Amino acid sequence: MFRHLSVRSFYSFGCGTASVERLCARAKALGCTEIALTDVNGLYAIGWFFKACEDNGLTPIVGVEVRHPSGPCRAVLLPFTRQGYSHLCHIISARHLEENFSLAEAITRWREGLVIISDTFALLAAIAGRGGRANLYVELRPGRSRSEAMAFSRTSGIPPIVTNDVHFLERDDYALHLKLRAIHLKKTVKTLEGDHVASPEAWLKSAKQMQEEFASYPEALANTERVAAICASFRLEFSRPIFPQFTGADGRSADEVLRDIATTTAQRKYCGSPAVMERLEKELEIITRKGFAHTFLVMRDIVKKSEHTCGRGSAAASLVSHVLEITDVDPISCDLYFGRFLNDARTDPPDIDMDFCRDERRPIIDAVFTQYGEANAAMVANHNCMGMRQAIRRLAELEGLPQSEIALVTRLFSGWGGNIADFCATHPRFRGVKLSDKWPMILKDAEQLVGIPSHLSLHPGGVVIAPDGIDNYIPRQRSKNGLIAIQTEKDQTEDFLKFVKFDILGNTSLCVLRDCLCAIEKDCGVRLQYRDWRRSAADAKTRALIATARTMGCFHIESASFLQLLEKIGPGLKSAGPQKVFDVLVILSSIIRPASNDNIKEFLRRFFGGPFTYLHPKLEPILAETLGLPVYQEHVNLMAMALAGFSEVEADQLRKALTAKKSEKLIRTLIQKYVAGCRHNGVPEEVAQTTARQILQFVHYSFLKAHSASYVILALACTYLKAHYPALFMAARLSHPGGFWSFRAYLSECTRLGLRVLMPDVNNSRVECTGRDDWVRIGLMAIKGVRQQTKNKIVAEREKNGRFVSFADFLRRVPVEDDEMEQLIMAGLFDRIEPQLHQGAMHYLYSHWVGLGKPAPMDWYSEQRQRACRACQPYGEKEKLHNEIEVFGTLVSRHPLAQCQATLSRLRRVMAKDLHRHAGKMVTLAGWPITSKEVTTRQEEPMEFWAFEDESGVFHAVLFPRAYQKFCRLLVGERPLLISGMVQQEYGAVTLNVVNISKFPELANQGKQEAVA
Amino acid sequence: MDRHIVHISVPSFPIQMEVRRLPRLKGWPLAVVPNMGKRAIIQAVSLEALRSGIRKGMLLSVAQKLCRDLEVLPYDERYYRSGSEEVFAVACKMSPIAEPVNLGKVFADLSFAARDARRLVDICWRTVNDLHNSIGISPALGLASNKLVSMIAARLASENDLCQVAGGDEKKFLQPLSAHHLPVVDRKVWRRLWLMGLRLIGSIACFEAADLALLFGRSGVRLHEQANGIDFTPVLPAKKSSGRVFGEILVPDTNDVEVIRARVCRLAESAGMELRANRLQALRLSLAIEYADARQAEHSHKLSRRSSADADLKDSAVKLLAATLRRRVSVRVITLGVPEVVPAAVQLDLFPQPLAEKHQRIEKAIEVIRGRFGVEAIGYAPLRQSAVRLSI
Repeated sequence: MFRHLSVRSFYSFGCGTASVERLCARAKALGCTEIALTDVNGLYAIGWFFKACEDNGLTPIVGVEVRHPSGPCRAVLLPFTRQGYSHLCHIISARHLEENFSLAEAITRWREGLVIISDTFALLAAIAGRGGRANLYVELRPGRSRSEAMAFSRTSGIPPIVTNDVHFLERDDYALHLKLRAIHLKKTVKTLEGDHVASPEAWLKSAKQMQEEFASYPEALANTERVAAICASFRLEFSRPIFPQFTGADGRSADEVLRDIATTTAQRKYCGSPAVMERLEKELEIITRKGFAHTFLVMRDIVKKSEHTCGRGSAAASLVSHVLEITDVDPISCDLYFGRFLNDARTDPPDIDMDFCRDERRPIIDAVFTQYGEANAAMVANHNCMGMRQAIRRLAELEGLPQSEIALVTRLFSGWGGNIADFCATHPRFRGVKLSDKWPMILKDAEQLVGIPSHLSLHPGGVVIAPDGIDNYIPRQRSKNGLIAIQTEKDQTEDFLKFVKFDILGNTSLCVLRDCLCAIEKDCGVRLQYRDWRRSAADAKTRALIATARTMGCFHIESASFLQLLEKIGPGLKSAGPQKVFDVLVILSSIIRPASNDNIKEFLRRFFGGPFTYLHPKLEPILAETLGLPVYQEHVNLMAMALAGFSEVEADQLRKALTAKKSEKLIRTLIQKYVAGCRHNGVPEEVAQTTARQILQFVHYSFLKAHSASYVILALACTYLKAHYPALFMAARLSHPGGFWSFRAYLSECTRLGLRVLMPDVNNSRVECTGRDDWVRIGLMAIKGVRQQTKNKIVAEREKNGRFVSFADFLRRVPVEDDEMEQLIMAGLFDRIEPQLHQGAMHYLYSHWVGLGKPAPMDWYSEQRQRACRACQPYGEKEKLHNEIEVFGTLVSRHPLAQCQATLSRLRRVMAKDLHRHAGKMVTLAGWPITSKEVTTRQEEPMEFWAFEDESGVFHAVLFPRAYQKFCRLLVGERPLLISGMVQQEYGAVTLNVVNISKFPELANQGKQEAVA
Repeated sequence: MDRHIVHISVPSFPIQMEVRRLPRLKGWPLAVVPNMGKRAIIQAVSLEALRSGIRKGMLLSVAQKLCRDLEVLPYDERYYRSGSEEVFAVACKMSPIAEPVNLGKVFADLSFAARDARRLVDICWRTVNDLHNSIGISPALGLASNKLVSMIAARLASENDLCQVAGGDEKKFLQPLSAHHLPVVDRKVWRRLWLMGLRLIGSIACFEAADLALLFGRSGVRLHEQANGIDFTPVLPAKKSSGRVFGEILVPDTNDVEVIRARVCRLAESAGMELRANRLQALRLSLAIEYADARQAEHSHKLSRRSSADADLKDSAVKLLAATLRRRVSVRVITLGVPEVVPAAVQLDLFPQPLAEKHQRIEKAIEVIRGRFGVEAIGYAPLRQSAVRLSI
């Protein structure tokens, strides 16, 4: 029977149209018993392919179609031994990494264990000439001349073989294939040339169809069967975890080294407490049994490369991680559950996530690559699939629509989910929108493209290390930023290839913390330890900030929803002890998750003394700290074990199914098992059902306690710094974009903290923002359109040769590009050294100097300076604001609402800071939108939470579905708005229930044009 | 002798012409667009439309949402051109030396009446009346000692009005005006002037020519002259252009290369027909493309031999298209230009050219059929196919 030996999935980026799951299901329906997957230049979907084959009872045949970087030379390579697979990976890696790659040379070099199929006669002749004709075949495929191939086969003696060069599932998918090719090659469908596309016949045909079609070539058909049988007999398996071997200096084994370090440190730290030592022993036993000692020691090595780190995730529940100083959370005092991290049944390697300062991440990764060798370490890839907006954009470009029109439509699709036709018909944003003739077809086709991989990118921090070379397991390729990555993403890497993944992640807040601590040490001579959370939580000023929800800028506890929750719970924390503050923050950071409003309300009620009972007495010891509510992932494990009698392993399976978003079927089965277990243990039916519902809420999103605790330590450190060193902390915060709020919002927070915001200055600004006492100075980093190199040069020159004395002095000492100089002048960099010279005159002087050919002696300067001051007009107030927005992207010297002073002076409005005094009343506020979150109600109607800001503070507003329907189109882009609504108060936190939004009259016309557009 | 140049400018000329054709439109918000698609760009607007926030260059779809009563009129170049010729004819009555500049804009040299200032003004007012009464449009006139100042003066004058700048007062007149009135001030120059705080013509005039040359390169000298009201360019009598331009707006916009190629070939055929009718031959072809996002691309090349044969012109036009069409964005306007033409050669061939003669006969036959039944009646096979595709 005919077998398909040349099949592409949509992981042949821009070529194939079908997923491996659909291909395998279709192959099974056609009666196939084996199928090959030969994606172009990669084994991107090897794990998914094996799983799909297993699900459909097919035997997988691994393979790749290698295409030469230039020219039409190609070959399908199928390994039939483990060595052959390794050779295949080497060839693909060489294809991606070597500059002067030659397919013929690569195949000749790594030919052992591979079947080579090609219709490039020159290639076949070259390979045959160098290494004989064994396992070499001439390919007969659709769209190519069969007679020519047969003639070559006869003359060269290389046997023929039949493939259908499958690129799509059904005949009708050809149109989709053409579109994908056109998108990938940035052409139109009409301008694609013959070599660019597959034959219209290249779809997954049945064996019978293929045999009839190639009936005239019985020898070729027989060869296909023979090759399929050989390749199918090779079973590729990855049974053992792949990780680097730790080699101690004194030749001891990794287990011994780990035990030694852990025991010594634990005894010192916990004074030999028997309970602690017992837990440590238990953990070490499991680690040793699983053979993961190397992993811990390697991670410890990596962590040592930086002073500021934050170990997080489930690893923080491990005492071994803590004593090795990989994580900061003390699992004993925080009572963290180790089984969530590692247990006997867990076959996959432990996952240790480490946060490093974002700007240190790359050097650390480079150091790891150097330490283990370029060929032995690689980043994990990400497969980026097309989302709806990208699909729409690509198809619209294919149809020739201009970018402006495409942007107008794709903007409407933010927050899209589900069926596109329904979305267009029902979503309020589409009300009154008439799309032009081409759009219905684009939107229809876009649904077909959603989910198709578009390109490879890098996992945020995953690094894998193979002691005997990555190429023995999976091919590598170079990413855009120069790092080498494997071709699979994290799930296939861990679950199929069994690589131990080391997560080296970047965290901006660690940079903030580091810079702030350095500045404190430098300016105040104080060296602080940020890991000491007890000091932070015990500090009255820190607690006051938390209790009054003034934690904007503090990592993890600064989001709009967290601030609102802190406002509500704050009064209860004012007199709380450090441990309680810590515990409550850990609970709050876990309880905030989608669809958990009821849970939060119930927790608040109970927190403020509301009566409650545990659903079952067995739950009391588990849920006591969270007042009877399941909050952490660990609660799923513990509840399942306590109520349903699950073993530790079964409980972890349930947790993993929920949190790893496994199939609905599996989740349903496990929940049924849970309910049955409860019944068996005599738990009342109502309790079983209620707890099952509570457990199911974890499907959406949930945190584990260890992870939350790790982050709360950082959060408390940030809050302590904000409370005691506000200028230094906010300067560090402003220097590192990537917090929850915008640069503008942090500037407003500076003002609220009583800090003066100083504009950049050539003699005082550093590249980053700086602060001291009661001021924060904006750094050169905030100036757009100036290269980083130039900014560094300005600061370096000043530090080396002293302060700049005049504008002319700067021109003489620092070479900058013309357009950069424009920005520097507009940013007001020279306003202090040249108070008599307005910016217009500076522009004139600079242009004049450039016109003269940038002479070194500045004889002309004083004369021209006088003239410039006389002739050039200084900027008006409006022009200055315009310049500020152009240079910084926002207003920095004042609040953006200052633009609407005329209306504000006439308007009777309530200020954000006074909103709580108007509870239950209708009020109007002026607001600048700063952040939003769109959600859907239980009735699937869209609504939105907004945070606005005026000169006095931030206020939160909610647009329920009716208001959202009316005003959602006004809330596009940044502009000041007048917001009216009813003030609602809950546990002291105020929210505005929006009933009306309007534009400022000053900007009405501009707004009208934007809204219409 | 002192020069006296008048500039006749008809504000919103297409709008005034449309109101002249349909007087009921007077007082309505009007917009003139080159094609009626949603993505059409507005070419001219009436005062009423301006008041609703509609501007020249705005998308029609946006404008229609800003003003629901907006009356949209198609751009009728032939009609406007004939109107412009009427304006020019009136200008020619004023002075024997008149130079048409653009649609509804003419310079006339009145230096012959320099000795009598009152007569000068009389001539201008008579012209205003003539245009208003006989043609039915309201011009704005600027009278000054040179073309530059008279043009700016006309721009500042209201409809049916004359703005006169006395000789010697040019600098004083220009001083308080914004620099963007000067023709040399394009977007780039304006940005730099704006940055330097040189927003008024007076501020620019303070600088020496050498200084401005340092700041703006070649434009600097012109900027200095214009800021000081200096313009020695003469009014040149109308000269009939020898070149030909053939354009087509694609409705709808398309990036289908086959359709675009077919349209370019059609334009080449039209060019061939006109050249043959006038016994001319093309030396050079140019092709300009305007994309749907308003970006433009243009290429031109010299023909291998002078020709008016369809085959030669089409062959060249298709080559030009390959060089010009480099983006995937849909094309909105195609313009095929024949910038250089020469009289057709009368030299007979020494040897018979059966193929060329056959082509000529076919071209003649096609022309006859098109003459009787219209341009769409017959075409070359690929064009017919494309036409069918377009109608779909």
